[in-house]
Amino acid sequence: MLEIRHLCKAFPAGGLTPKIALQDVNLTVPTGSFVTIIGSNGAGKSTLLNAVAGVFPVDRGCVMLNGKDITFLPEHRRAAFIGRVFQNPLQGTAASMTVEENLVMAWRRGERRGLRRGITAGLRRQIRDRLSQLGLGLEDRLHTAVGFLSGGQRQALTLLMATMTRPDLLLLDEHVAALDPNTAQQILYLTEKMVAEEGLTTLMVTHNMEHALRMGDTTIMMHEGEIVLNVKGTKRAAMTVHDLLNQFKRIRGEQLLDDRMLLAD
Amino acid sequence: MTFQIISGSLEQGLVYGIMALGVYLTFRVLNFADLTVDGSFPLGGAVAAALIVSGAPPLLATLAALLAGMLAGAVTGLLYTKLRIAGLLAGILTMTGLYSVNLRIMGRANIPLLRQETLFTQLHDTFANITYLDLLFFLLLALLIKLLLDAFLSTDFGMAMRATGDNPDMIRSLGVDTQAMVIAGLCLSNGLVALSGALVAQYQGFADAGMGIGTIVVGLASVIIGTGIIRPYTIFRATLGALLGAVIYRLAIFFALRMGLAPTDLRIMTAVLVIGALSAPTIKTIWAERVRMRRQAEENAVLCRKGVGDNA
Ligand SMILES: Nc1ncnc2c1ncn2[C@@H]1O[C@H](COP(=O)(O)OP(=O)(O)O)[C@@H](O)[C@H]1O
Ligand SMILES: [Mg+2]
Repeated sequence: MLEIRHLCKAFPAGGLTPKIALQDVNLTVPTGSFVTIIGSNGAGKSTLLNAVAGVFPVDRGCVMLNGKDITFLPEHRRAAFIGRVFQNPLQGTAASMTVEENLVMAWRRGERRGLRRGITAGLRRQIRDRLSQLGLGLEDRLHTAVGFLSGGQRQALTLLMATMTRPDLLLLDEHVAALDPNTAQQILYLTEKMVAEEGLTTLMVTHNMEHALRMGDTTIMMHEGEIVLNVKGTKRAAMTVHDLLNQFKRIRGEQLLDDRMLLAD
Repeated sequence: MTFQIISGSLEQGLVYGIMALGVYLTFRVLNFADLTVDGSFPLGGAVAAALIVSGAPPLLATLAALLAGMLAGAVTGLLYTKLRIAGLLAGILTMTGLYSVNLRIMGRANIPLLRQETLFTQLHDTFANITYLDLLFFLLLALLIKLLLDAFLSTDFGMAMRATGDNPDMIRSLGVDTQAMVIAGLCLSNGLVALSGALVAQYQGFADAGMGIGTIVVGLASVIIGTGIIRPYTIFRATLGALLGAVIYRLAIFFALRMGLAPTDLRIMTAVLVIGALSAPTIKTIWAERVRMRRQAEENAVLCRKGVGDNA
Protein backbone atom coordinates (compact mmCIF):
# COMPACT_ATOMS: atom_id res chain seq x y z
CA MET A 1 0.00 0.00 0.00
CA LEU A 2 1.17 3.48 -0.92
CA GLU A 3 0.26 6.33 1.40
CA ILE A 4 0.94 9.95 0.53
CA ARG A 5 0.25 12.43 3.32
CA HIS A 6 0.28 16.25 3.15
CA LEU A 7 2.83 16.24 0.36
CA CYS A 8 4.03 19.72 -0.65
CA LYS A 9 6.63 20.70 -3.20
CA ALA A 10 7.55 24.12 -4.60
CA PHE A 11 10.19 24.87 -7.21
CA PRO A 12 12.18 28.10 -7.24
CA ALA A 13 10.77 30.20 -10.10
CA GLY A 14 12.07 33.32 -11.79
CA GLY A 15 10.33 35.78 -9.47
CA LEU A 16 10.21 36.02 -5.71
CA THR A 17 7.37 33.54 -5.25
CA PRO A 18 8.26 29.90 -5.90
CA LYS A 19 6.09 27.79 -8.21
CA ILE A 20 3.93 25.50 -6.09
CA ALA A 21 3.85 22.14 -7.88
CA LEU A 22 2.24 20.01 -5.15
CA GLN A 23 -0.09 21.38 -2.54
CA ASP A 24 -1.06 19.18 0.39
CA VAL A 25 -1.53 16.03 -1.67
CA ASN A 26 -3.12 13.07 0.16
CA LEU A 27 -3.58 9.74 -1.58
CA THR A 28 -3.93 6.13 -0.49
CA VAL A 29 -3.32 3.39 -3.03
CA PRO A 30 -4.14 -0.10 -1.71
CA THR A 31 -1.84 -2.95 -2.71
CA GLY A 32 -2.70 -4.22 -6.16
CA SER A 33 -4.69 -1.12 -7.06
CA PHE A 34 -4.16 0.60 -10.43
CA VAL A 35 -4.65 4.37 -10.34
CA THR A 36 -4.84 6.51 -13.47
CA ILE A 37 -3.95 10.20 -13.18
CA ILE A 38 -5.19 12.96 -15.44
CA GLY A 39 -4.91 16.73 -15.41
CA SER A 40 -3.83 19.59 -17.66
CA ASN A 41 -0.21 20.45 -18.42
CA GLY A 42 1.63 21.70 -15.37
CA ALA A 43 -0.94 20.25 -12.96
CA GLY A 44 1.79 18.47 -11.00
CA LYS A 45 1.32 14.89 -12.24
CA SER A 46 4.98 14.30 -13.05
CA THR A 47 6.04 16.08 -9.89
CA LEU A 48 3.87 13.71 -7.86
CA LEU A 49 5.46 10.64 -9.47
CA ASN A 50 8.95 12.13 -9.12
CA ALA A 51 8.31 12.88 -5.45
CA VAL A 52 7.23 9.27 -4.86
CA ALA A 53 10.31 8.02 -6.73
CA GLY A 54 12.56 10.33 -4.71
CA VAL A 55 13.99 12.37 -7.59
CA PHE A 56 14.08 15.40 -5.28
CA PRO A 57 13.40 16.04 -1.58
CA VAL A 58 9.87 17.23 -0.82
CA ASP A 59 9.19 20.32 1.29
CA ARG A 60 6.58 18.83 3.57
CA GLY A 61 4.64 15.63 4.22
CA CYS A 62 5.56 11.99 3.82
CA VAL A 63 5.47 9.02 1.49
CA MET A 64 4.97 5.55 2.93
CA LEU A 65 5.19 2.31 1.02
CA ASN A 66 3.92 -0.90 2.64
CA GLY A 67 4.08 0.75 6.03
CA LYS A 68 7.66 1.95 5.62
CA ASP A 69 8.39 5.68 5.61
CA ILE A 70 10.49 6.31 2.50
CA THR A 71 10.31 10.12 2.55
CA PHE A 72 14.04 10.53 3.17
CA LEU A 73 15.32 7.53 1.22
CA PRO A 74 17.52 8.52 -1.76
CA GLU A 75 16.19 7.77 -5.24
CA HIS A 76 18.50 4.82 -5.98
CA ARG A 77 17.52 3.11 -2.73
CA ARG A 78 13.79 3.45 -3.43
CA ALA A 79 14.40 2.08 -6.90
CA ALA A 80 14.89 -1.30 -5.25
CA PHE A 81 11.11 -1.57 -4.95
CA ILE A 82 9.79 1.03 -7.42
CA GLY A 83 9.76 0.41 -11.19
CA ARG A 84 9.43 3.35 -13.59
CA VAL A 85 8.67 3.99 -17.24
CA PHE A 86 9.19 7.52 -18.52
CA GLN A 87 7.50 9.41 -21.34
CA ASN A 88 10.68 9.58 -23.39
CA PRO A 89 11.43 6.11 -24.82
CA LEU A 90 15.16 7.00 -24.76
CA GLN A 91 15.16 7.58 -21.02
CA GLY A 92 14.55 4.06 -19.78
CA THR A 93 17.31 2.12 -21.51
CA ALA A 94 21.06 2.45 -22.11
CA ALA A 95 21.41 2.92 -25.88
CA SER A 96 25.01 1.78 -26.24
CA MET A 97 24.39 -1.47 -24.38
CA THR A 98 22.72 -4.58 -25.74
CA VAL A 99 19.14 -5.74 -25.14
CA GLU A 100 20.52 -8.52 -22.97
CA GLU A 101 22.75 -6.22 -20.92
CA ASN A 102 19.89 -3.82 -20.27
CA LEU A 103 17.67 -6.65 -19.07
CA VAL A 104 20.35 -8.13 -16.85
CA MET A 105 20.83 -4.76 -15.19
CA ALA A 106 17.09 -4.61 -14.55
CA TRP A 107 17.15 -8.18 -13.23
CA ARG A 108 19.59 -6.97 -10.56
CA ARG A 109 17.30 -4.11 -9.51
CA GLY A 110 18.21 -3.01 -6.02
CA GLU A 111 20.88 -5.67 -5.54
CA ARG A 112 24.46 -4.85 -4.65
CA ARG A 113 26.44 -4.86 -7.88
CA GLY A 114 29.42 -7.09 -7.35
CA LEU A 115 32.30 -8.38 -9.42
CA ARG A 116 30.60 -11.52 -10.61
CA ARG A 117 30.02 -12.01 -14.31
CA GLY A 118 26.91 -10.09 -15.32
CA ILE A 119 25.49 -12.47 -17.90
CA THR A 120 25.29 -16.20 -17.25
CA ALA A 121 23.75 -18.93 -19.39
CA GLY A 122 20.91 -19.47 -16.93
CA LEU A 123 20.08 -15.78 -16.79
CA ARG A 124 20.17 -15.55 -20.58
CA ARG A 125 17.59 -18.34 -20.85
CA GLN A 126 15.25 -16.64 -18.40
CA ILE A 127 15.63 -13.32 -20.15
CA ARG A 128 14.91 -14.88 -23.53
CA ASP A 129 11.73 -16.39 -22.07
CA ARG A 130 10.52 -13.08 -20.72
CA LEU A 131 11.33 -11.30 -23.96
CA SER A 132 9.43 -13.79 -26.07
CA GLN A 133 6.34 -13.06 -23.97
CA LEU A 134 6.40 -9.52 -25.35
CA GLY A 135 5.70 -11.00 -28.77
CA LEU A 136 7.97 -8.50 -30.54
CA GLY A 137 10.70 -10.91 -31.63
CA LEU A 138 13.22 -9.17 -29.39
CA GLU A 139 14.36 -12.55 -28.05
CA ASP A 140 16.27 -12.98 -31.31
CA ARG A 141 18.03 -9.63 -30.92
CA LEU A 142 19.67 -10.14 -27.52
CA HIS A 143 22.99 -8.82 -28.77
CA THR A 144 21.66 -5.77 -30.59
CA ALA A 145 22.52 -2.40 -29.04
CA VAL A 146 19.27 -0.90 -27.76
CA GLY A 147 20.00 2.30 -29.72
CA PHE A 148 19.12 0.40 -32.90
CA LEU A 149 15.58 -0.41 -31.72
CA SER A 150 12.50 1.68 -32.47
CA GLY A 151 10.87 3.88 -29.84
CA GLY A 152 8.06 1.35 -29.34
CA GLN A 153 10.46 -1.55 -28.95
CA ARG A 154 12.50 0.45 -26.46
CA GLN A 155 9.40 1.35 -24.49
CA ALA A 156 8.28 -2.30 -24.42
CA LEU A 157 11.74 -3.22 -23.18
CA THR A 158 11.60 -0.51 -20.49
CA LEU A 159 8.21 -1.79 -19.40
CA LEU A 160 9.56 -5.30 -19.06
CA MET A 161 12.60 -3.97 -17.19
CA ALA A 162 10.34 -2.02 -14.83
CA THR A 163 8.09 -4.98 -14.03
CA MET A 164 10.21 -8.14 -14.27
CA THR A 165 11.31 -8.09 -10.63
CA ARG A 166 7.74 -7.49 -9.41
CA PRO A 167 8.35 -4.10 -7.75
CA ASP A 168 6.08 -2.97 -4.90
CA LEU A 169 5.08 0.02 -7.02
CA LEU A 170 5.02 0.79 -10.74
CA LEU A 171 5.13 4.42 -11.92
CA LEU A 172 4.12 5.17 -15.52
CA ASP A 173 4.38 8.80 -16.67
CA GLU A 174 2.62 9.28 -20.02
CA HIS A 175 4.62 6.31 -21.18
CA VAL A 176 2.84 6.00 -24.54
CA ALA A 177 2.45 9.72 -25.28
CA ALA A 178 5.52 9.82 -27.55
CA LEU A 179 4.47 6.80 -29.62
CA ASP A 180 2.32 6.52 -32.74
CA PRO A 181 -1.29 5.36 -32.07
CA ASN A 182 -0.73 1.74 -33.10
CA THR A 183 2.41 1.30 -31.03
CA ALA A 184 0.75 3.12 -28.13
CA GLN A 185 -2.12 0.60 -28.19
CA GLN A 186 0.34 -2.26 -28.20
CA ILE A 187 2.29 -0.89 -25.23
CA LEU A 188 -0.93 -0.20 -23.32
CA TYR A 189 -2.04 -3.77 -23.94
CA LEU A 190 1.31 -5.04 -22.61
CA THR A 191 0.99 -2.71 -19.64
CA GLU A 192 -2.40 -4.10 -18.66
CA LYS A 193 -1.20 -7.65 -19.17
CA MET A 194 1.93 -7.25 -17.04
CA VAL A 195 0.20 -5.31 -14.28
CA ALA A 196 -2.54 -7.95 -14.13
CA GLU A 197 -0.16 -10.92 -14.24
CA GLU A 198 2.03 -9.61 -11.43
CA GLY A 199 -0.75 -7.83 -9.54
CA LEU A 200 1.32 -4.65 -9.43
CA THR A 201 0.32 -1.54 -7.50
CA THR A 202 0.41 1.08 -10.24
CA LEU A 203 0.20 4.83 -10.83
CA MET A 204 -0.27 5.77 -14.47
CA VAL A 205 -0.32 9.34 -15.78
CA THR A 206 -2.14 9.75 -19.08
CA HIS A 207 -3.61 12.63 -21.04
CA ASN A 208 -6.10 10.30 -22.67
CA MET A 209 -9.35 10.45 -20.69
CA GLU A 210 -10.69 7.31 -22.30
CA HIS A 211 -7.62 5.33 -21.21
CA ALA A 212 -7.90 6.93 -17.78
CA LEU A 213 -11.43 5.57 -17.32
CA ARG A 214 -11.02 2.27 -19.12
CA MET A 215 -7.77 1.16 -17.48
CA GLY A 216 -7.18 0.56 -13.77
CA ASP A 217 -9.67 0.79 -10.90
CA THR A 218 -9.32 4.38 -9.72
CA THR A 219 -9.00 7.72 -11.49
CA ILE A 220 -7.71 10.91 -9.95
CA MET A 221 -7.62 14.36 -11.50
CA MET A 222 -5.00 16.94 -10.57
CA HIS A 223 -5.22 20.69 -10.95
CA GLU A 224 -2.64 23.27 -9.88
CA GLY A 225 -0.85 20.89 -7.55
CA GLU A 226 -3.95 19.46 -5.89
CA ILE A 227 -6.00 16.31 -6.30
CA VAL A 228 -9.43 17.66 -7.26
CA LEU A 229 -11.18 14.42 -8.14
CA ASN A 230 -10.85 10.83 -6.92
CA VAL A 231 -13.32 8.29 -8.29
CA LYS A 232 -13.53 4.52 -8.10
CA GLY A 233 -16.03 1.70 -7.97
CA THR A 234 -19.54 2.04 -9.37
CA LYS A 235 -19.37 5.81 -9.62
CA ARG A 236 -16.34 5.49 -11.86
CA ALA A 237 -17.85 2.61 -13.82
CA ALA A 238 -20.82 4.82 -14.70
CA MET A 239 -18.61 7.71 -15.74
CA THR A 240 -18.06 8.69 -19.37
CA VAL A 241 -15.34 10.78 -20.93
CA HIS A 242 -17.99 13.45 -21.32
CA ASP A 243 -18.69 13.46 -17.56
CA LEU A 244 -15.00 13.68 -16.85
CA LEU A 245 -14.60 16.60 -19.23
CA ASN A 246 -17.52 18.40 -17.57
CA GLN A 247 -15.97 17.85 -14.15
CA PHE A 248 -12.73 19.22 -15.48
CA LYS A 249 -14.43 22.31 -16.95
CA ARG A 250 -16.35 22.91 -13.73
CA ILE A 251 -13.19 22.78 -11.63
CA ARG A 252 -11.37 25.07 -14.00
CA GLY A 253 -14.35 27.40 -14.07
CA GLU A 254 -14.45 27.62 -10.27
CA GLN A 255 -10.77 28.39 -10.40
CA LEU A 256 -11.38 31.20 -12.90
CA LEU A 257 -14.16 32.52 -10.70
CA ASP A 258 -11.82 32.49 -7.69
CA ASP A 259 -9.21 34.38 -9.67
CA ARG A 260 -11.76 36.96 -10.74
CA MET A 261 -12.92 37.43 -7.18
CA LEU A 262 -9.33 37.90 -6.12
CA LEU A 263 -8.83 40.51 -8.80
CA ALA A 264 -12.05 42.28 -7.82
CA ASP A 265 -10.83 42.50 -4.25
CA MET B 1 65.48 -0.32 -40.97
CA THR B 2 65.70 -2.90 -38.25
CA PHE B 3 63.11 -3.75 -35.68
CA GLN B 4 65.49 -2.61 -32.96
CA ILE B 5 65.05 1.01 -33.95
CA ILE B 6 61.32 1.01 -33.39
CA SER B 7 61.24 -1.33 -30.40
CA GLY B 8 61.73 1.67 -28.11
CA SER B 9 58.66 3.34 -29.59
CA LEU B 10 56.66 0.14 -29.19
CA GLU B 11 57.68 -0.09 -25.54
CA GLN B 12 56.67 3.51 -24.94
CA GLY B 13 53.42 2.96 -26.79
CA LEU B 14 52.53 0.00 -24.61
CA VAL B 15 53.42 1.60 -21.29
CA TYR B 16 51.53 4.77 -22.23
CA GLY B 17 48.81 2.44 -23.47
CA ILE B 18 48.07 1.56 -19.82
CA MET B 19 47.45 5.27 -19.29
CA ALA B 20 45.28 5.32 -22.42
CA LEU B 21 43.16 2.48 -20.99
CA GLY B 22 42.56 4.71 -17.96
CA VAL B 23 41.56 7.60 -20.20
CA TYR B 24 39.28 5.27 -22.17
CA LEU B 25 37.48 4.40 -18.95
CA THR B 26 36.62 8.00 -18.09
CA PHE B 27 36.32 9.53 -21.55
CA ARG B 28 34.41 6.77 -23.34
CA VAL B 29 32.82 4.65 -20.61
CA LEU B 30 31.89 7.33 -18.07
CA ASN B 31 31.60 10.10 -20.66
CA PHE B 32 33.74 12.33 -18.45
CA ALA B 33 36.70 14.38 -19.70
CA ASP B 34 39.02 13.97 -16.72
CA LEU B 35 42.01 16.32 -16.53
CA THR B 36 43.20 14.80 -13.26
CA VAL B 37 45.34 12.63 -15.52
CA ASP B 38 47.96 15.37 -16.02
CA GLY B 39 48.52 15.27 -12.25
CA SER B 40 48.02 11.59 -11.47
CA PHE B 41 50.53 10.45 -14.09
CA PRO B 42 53.48 12.32 -12.49
CA LEU B 43 52.01 11.40 -9.09
CA GLY B 44 52.58 7.77 -9.96
CA GLY B 45 56.15 8.54 -11.02
CA ALA B 46 56.80 10.61 -7.90
CA VAL B 47 55.44 8.04 -5.44
CA ALA B 48 57.32 5.17 -7.08
CA ALA B 49 60.61 7.10 -7.34
CA ALA B 50 60.48 8.51 -3.82
CA LEU B 51 59.75 5.07 -2.36
CA ILE B 52 62.43 3.35 -4.42
CA VAL B 53 65.05 5.93 -3.41
CA SER B 54 64.13 5.40 0.23
CA GLY B 55 64.74 1.68 -0.18
CA ALA B 56 61.30 0.21 -0.78
CA PRO B 57 61.00 -2.86 -3.05
CA PRO B 58 60.13 -1.68 -6.60
CA LEU B 59 56.98 -3.80 -6.82
CA LEU B 60 55.66 -2.33 -3.60
CA ALA B 61 56.57 1.19 -4.77
CA THR B 62 54.68 0.59 -8.02
CA LEU B 63 51.58 -0.67 -6.21
CA ALA B 64 51.73 2.33 -3.86
CA ALA B 65 51.76 4.57 -6.93
CA LEU B 66 48.62 2.87 -8.21
CA LEU B 67 46.88 3.46 -4.87
CA ALA B 68 47.99 7.11 -4.83
CA GLY B 69 46.48 7.55 -8.31
CA MET B 70 43.21 6.03 -7.14
CA LEU B 71 43.14 8.50 -4.27
CA ALA B 72 43.66 11.39 -6.70
CA GLY B 73 40.76 10.09 -8.80
CA ALA B 74 38.59 9.88 -5.70
CA VAL B 75 39.30 13.55 -4.93
CA THR B 76 38.11 14.62 -8.39
CA GLY B 77 35.10 12.32 -8.05
CA LEU B 78 34.11 13.80 -4.70
CA LEU B 79 34.52 17.37 -5.98
CA TYR B 80 32.29 16.52 -8.93
CA THR B 81 29.57 14.46 -7.24
CA LYS B 82 29.32 15.70 -3.66
CA LEU B 83 30.38 19.34 -4.07
CA ARG B 84 28.84 19.64 -7.56
CA ILE B 85 31.86 21.27 -9.18
CA ALA B 86 31.78 20.96 -12.98
CA GLY B 87 33.68 17.89 -14.21
CA LEU B 88 36.35 19.70 -16.20
CA LEU B 89 36.98 22.14 -13.37
CA ALA B 90 37.09 19.37 -10.74
CA GLY B 91 39.84 17.66 -12.76
CA ILE B 92 41.78 20.90 -13.22
CA LEU B 93 41.61 21.66 -9.50
CA THR B 94 42.91 18.23 -8.50
CA MET B 95 45.61 18.40 -11.17
CA THR B 96 46.74 21.83 -9.97
CA GLY B 97 46.83 20.70 -6.35
CA LEU B 98 48.74 17.57 -7.32
CA TYR B 99 51.57 19.63 -8.77
CA SER B 100 52.45 20.79 -5.24
CA VAL B 101 51.77 17.35 -3.80
CA ASN B 102 54.15 15.76 -6.30
CA LEU B 103 56.92 18.22 -5.46
CA ARG B 104 56.36 17.49 -1.77
CA ILE B 105 56.55 13.76 -2.34
CA MET B 106 59.75 14.06 -4.35
CA GLY B 107 61.30 16.80 -2.23
CA ARG B 108 62.71 18.30 -5.44
CA ALA B 109 61.74 18.62 -9.08
CA ASN B 110 63.55 15.51 -10.31
CA ILE B 111 64.57 12.15 -8.86
CA PRO B 112 67.09 10.13 -10.88
CA LEU B 113 66.74 6.35 -10.59
CA LEU B 114 69.77 5.36 -12.61
CA ARG B 115 71.69 3.55 -9.90
CA GLN B 116 68.59 2.31 -8.07
CA GLU B 117 67.01 -1.08 -8.15
CA THR B 118 63.82 -0.82 -10.21
CA LEU B 119 61.34 -3.29 -11.68
CA PHE B 120 63.47 -3.25 -14.82
CA THR B 121 66.85 -3.96 -13.19
CA GLN B 122 65.14 -6.84 -11.36
CA LEU B 123 63.60 -8.05 -14.58
CA HIS B 124 66.95 -8.03 -16.38
CA ASP B 125 68.66 -9.80 -13.50
CA THR B 126 66.02 -12.55 -13.54
CA PHE B 127 65.71 -13.07 -17.30
CA ALA B 128 69.15 -12.09 -18.50
CA ASN B 129 69.07 -14.06 -21.74
CA ILE B 130 65.76 -12.92 -23.28
CA THR B 131 66.03 -10.39 -26.11
CA TYR B 132 63.51 -7.57 -26.24
CA LEU B 133 62.76 -8.26 -22.58
CA ASP B 134 61.30 -4.80 -21.89
CA LEU B 135 59.08 -5.02 -24.94
CA LEU B 136 57.84 -8.47 -23.95
CA PHE B 137 57.20 -7.30 -20.40
CA PHE B 138 55.20 -4.26 -21.49
CA LEU B 139 53.29 -6.28 -24.06
CA LEU B 140 52.24 -8.92 -21.53
CA LEU B 141 51.44 -6.39 -18.82
CA ALA B 142 49.40 -4.11 -21.12
CA LEU B 143 47.45 -7.07 -22.51
CA LEU B 144 46.84 -8.44 -19.02
CA ILE B 145 45.48 -5.10 -17.84
CA LYS B 146 43.36 -4.79 -20.98
CA LEU B 147 41.82 -8.23 -20.43
CA LEU B 148 41.21 -7.51 -16.74
CA LEU B 149 39.50 -4.26 -17.68
CA ASP B 150 37.34 -6.11 -20.25
CA ALA B 151 36.34 -8.65 -17.62
CA PHE B 152 35.60 -5.92 -15.10
CA LEU B 153 33.34 -4.07 -17.54
CA SER B 154 31.21 -7.17 -18.05
CA THR B 155 30.57 -7.76 -14.34
CA ASP B 156 27.40 -6.44 -12.70
CA PHE B 157 29.46 -3.59 -11.27
CA GLY B 158 31.15 -2.83 -14.59
CA MET B 159 27.86 -2.87 -16.49
CA ALA B 160 26.37 -0.44 -13.98
CA MET B 161 29.39 1.81 -14.55
CA ARG B 162 28.88 1.71 -18.32
CA ALA B 163 25.19 2.48 -17.89
CA THR B 164 26.11 5.42 -15.64
CA GLY B 165 28.07 6.93 -18.53
CA ASP B 166 25.32 6.11 -21.03
CA ASN B 167 22.12 6.98 -19.16
CA PRO B 168 22.42 7.86 -15.46
CA ASP B 169 18.63 8.33 -15.04
CA MET B 170 18.00 4.80 -16.25
CA ILE B 171 20.53 3.01 -14.07
CA ARG B 172 19.58 5.09 -11.03
CA SER B 173 15.97 4.00 -11.57
CA LEU B 174 17.31 0.43 -11.32
CA GLY B 175 18.80 1.07 -7.91
CA VAL B 176 22.39 2.09 -8.63
CA ASP B 177 24.11 4.97 -6.83
CA THR B 178 25.45 6.78 -9.91
CA GLN B 179 27.61 9.13 -7.85
CA ALA B 180 29.42 6.17 -6.32
CA MET B 181 29.87 4.75 -9.83
CA VAL B 182 31.48 7.95 -11.09
CA ILE B 183 33.83 8.05 -8.11
CA ALA B 184 34.77 4.39 -8.56
CA GLY B 185 35.41 4.92 -12.26
CA LEU B 186 37.64 7.93 -11.64
CA CYS B 187 39.54 5.93 -9.00
CA LEU B 188 40.15 3.03 -11.31
CA SER B 189 41.10 5.26 -14.22
CA ASN B 190 43.60 7.35 -12.29
CA GLY B 191 44.99 4.23 -10.66
CA LEU B 192 45.88 2.95 -14.12
CA VAL B 193 47.27 6.33 -15.12
CA ALA B 194 49.49 6.48 -12.02
CA LEU B 195 50.62 2.90 -12.61
CA SER B 196 51.65 3.94 -16.09
CA GLY B 197 53.51 6.95 -14.61
CA ALA B 198 55.32 4.71 -12.11
CA LEU B 199 56.43 2.35 -14.89
CA VAL B 200 57.53 5.21 -17.15
CA ALA B 201 59.64 6.73 -14.35
CA GLN B 202 61.41 3.40 -13.73
CA TYR B 203 61.76 2.69 -17.43
CA GLN B 204 63.27 6.08 -18.33
CA GLY B 205 65.33 6.23 -15.13
CA PHE B 206 63.89 9.33 -13.48
CA ALA B 207 60.73 10.95 -12.18
CA ASP B 208 60.14 14.59 -12.98
CA ALA B 209 57.55 17.05 -11.69
CA GLY B 210 56.87 18.14 -15.27
CA MET B 211 56.45 14.66 -16.77
CA GLY B 212 52.65 14.92 -16.73
CA ILE B 213 52.14 17.92 -18.99
CA GLY B 214 49.93 16.97 -21.91
CA THR B 215 49.29 13.41 -20.72
CA ILE B 216 45.53 13.76 -21.13
CA VAL B 217 45.91 14.92 -24.72
CA VAL B 218 48.17 11.96 -25.51
CA GLY B 219 45.61 9.68 -23.85
CA LEU B 220 42.75 11.20 -25.84
CA ALA B 221 44.81 10.99 -29.04
CA SER B 222 45.40 7.28 -28.36
CA VAL B 223 41.74 6.55 -27.68
CA ILE B 224 40.64 8.48 -30.77
CA ILE B 225 43.24 6.89 -33.06
CA GLY B 226 42.16 3.54 -31.65
CA THR B 227 38.51 4.20 -32.50
CA GLY B 228 39.62 5.08 -36.02
CA ILE B 229 41.46 1.81 -36.54
CA ILE B 230 39.18 -0.62 -34.74
CA ARG B 231 35.47 0.18 -34.68
CA PRO B 232 34.52 -0.18 -30.99
CA TYR B 233 31.51 -2.48 -31.43
CA THR B 234 32.48 -4.39 -28.29
CA ILE B 235 34.42 -3.61 -25.13
CA PHE B 236 37.12 -6.03 -26.26
CA ARG B 237 37.63 -4.09 -29.46
CA ALA B 238 37.44 -0.68 -27.79
CA THR B 239 40.17 -1.40 -25.23
CA LEU B 240 42.29 -3.06 -27.88
CA GLY B 241 41.86 0.10 -29.92
CA ALA B 242 43.04 2.30 -27.04
CA LEU B 243 46.19 0.19 -26.65
CA LEU B 244 46.88 0.09 -30.37
CA GLY B 245 46.16 3.80 -30.63
CA ALA B 246 48.81 4.52 -28.01
CA VAL B 247 51.36 2.42 -29.91
CA ILE B 248 50.53 4.00 -33.25
CA TYR B 249 50.78 7.44 -31.68
CA ARG B 250 54.35 6.67 -30.52
CA LEU B 251 55.28 5.26 -33.91
CA ALA B 252 53.86 8.35 -35.62
CA ILE B 253 55.97 10.56 -33.36
CA PHE B 254 59.02 8.45 -34.03
CA PHE B 255 58.68 8.84 -37.78
CA ALA B 256 57.72 12.51 -37.56
CA LEU B 257 60.88 13.20 -35.58
CA ARG B 258 62.96 11.26 -38.08
CA MET B 259 61.47 13.31 -40.85
CA GLY B 260 62.70 16.45 -39.13
CA LEU B 261 59.87 17.56 -36.83
CA ALA B 262 61.33 19.60 -33.96
CA PRO B 263 60.69 17.78 -30.65
CA THR B 264 59.37 21.07 -29.23
CA ASP B 265 56.57 21.01 -31.82
CA LEU B 266 55.31 17.61 -30.70
CA ARG B 267 52.59 18.93 -28.43
CA ILE B 268 51.06 21.24 -31.01
CA MET B 269 51.04 18.33 -33.45
CA THR B 270 49.25 16.17 -30.90
CA ALA B 271 46.76 18.91 -30.10
CA VAL B 272 46.01 19.42 -33.80
CA LEU B 273 45.57 15.68 -34.24
CA VAL B 274 43.03 15.53 -31.41
CA ILE B 275 41.21 18.65 -32.64
CA GLY B 276 41.03 17.13 -36.11
CA ALA B 277 39.68 13.82 -34.87
CA LEU B 278 37.14 15.40 -32.50
CA SER B 279 35.87 17.87 -35.11
CA ALA B 280 35.84 15.47 -38.05
CA PRO B 281 32.16 14.47 -37.62
CA THR B 282 31.04 18.12 -37.38
CA ILE B 283 33.06 19.18 -40.40
CA LYS B 284 31.73 16.21 -42.33
CA THR B 285 28.13 17.21 -41.53
CA ILE B 286 28.68 20.86 -42.45
CA TRP B 287 30.33 19.85 -45.70
CA ALA B 288 27.61 17.39 -46.66
CA GLU B 289 24.92 20.01 -45.97
CA ARG B 290 26.72 22.53 -48.17
CA VAL B 291 26.94 20.08 -51.02
CA ARG B 292 23.28 19.21 -50.61
CA MET B 293 22.18 22.86 -50.60
CA ARG B 294 24.20 23.61 -53.74
CA ARG B 295 22.51 20.70 -55.45
CA GLN B 296 19.11 21.89 -54.25
CA ALA B 297 19.80 25.38 -55.59
CA GLU B 298 20.64 23.94 -59.01
CA GLU B 299 17.51 21.82 -58.95
CA ASN B 300 15.40 24.81 -57.88
CA ALA B 301 16.46 26.74 -60.95
CA VAL B 302 14.21 24.34 -62.89
CA LEU B 303 11.77 23.22 -60.20
CA CYS B 304 10.72 26.63 -58.86
CA ARG B 305 10.68 28.72 -62.05
CA LYS B 306 7.70 31.00 -62.67
CA GLY B 307 4.39 29.60 -63.77
CA VAL B 308 4.37 26.38 -61.75
CA GLY B 309 0.89 25.93 -60.24
CA ASP B 310 -0.37 24.99 -56.79
CA ASN B 311 -1.49 21.57 -55.76
CA ALA B 312 -4.94 20.50 -56.73
N1 LIG C 1 12.46 20.64 -11.91
C1 LIG C 1 11.60 21.67 -11.94
N2 LIG C 1 12.05 22.93 -11.73
C2 LIG C 1 11.19 23.97 -11.75
N3 LIG C 1 9.89 23.86 -11.96
C3 LIG C 1 9.38 22.63 -12.17
C4 LIG C 1 10.21 21.48 -12.18
N4 LIG C 1 9.45 20.39 -12.42
C5 LIG C 1 8.19 20.85 -12.56
N5 LIG C 1 8.14 22.19 -12.41
C6 LIG C 1 6.94 23.03 -12.46
O1 LIG C 1 5.97 22.43 -11.63
C7 LIG C 1 4.69 22.46 -12.24
C8 LIG C 1 4.14 21.06 -12.39
O2 LIG C 1 4.89 20.37 -13.39
P1 LIG C 1 4.66 18.86 -13.77
O3 LIG C 1 4.54 18.05 -12.55
O4 LIG C 1 5.73 18.49 -14.73
O5 LIG C 1 3.26 18.93 -14.53
P2 LIG C 1 2.51 17.81 -15.35
O6 LIG C 1 1.20 17.63 -14.65
O7 LIG C 1 2.28 18.38 -16.71
O8 LIG C 1 3.32 16.59 -15.38
C9 LIG C 1 4.87 23.16 -13.57
O9 LIG C 1 4.51 24.52 -13.41
C10 LIG C 1 6.33 23.04 -13.84
O10 LIG C 1 6.78 24.15 -14.58
MG1 LIG D 1 4.26 15.54 -16.96
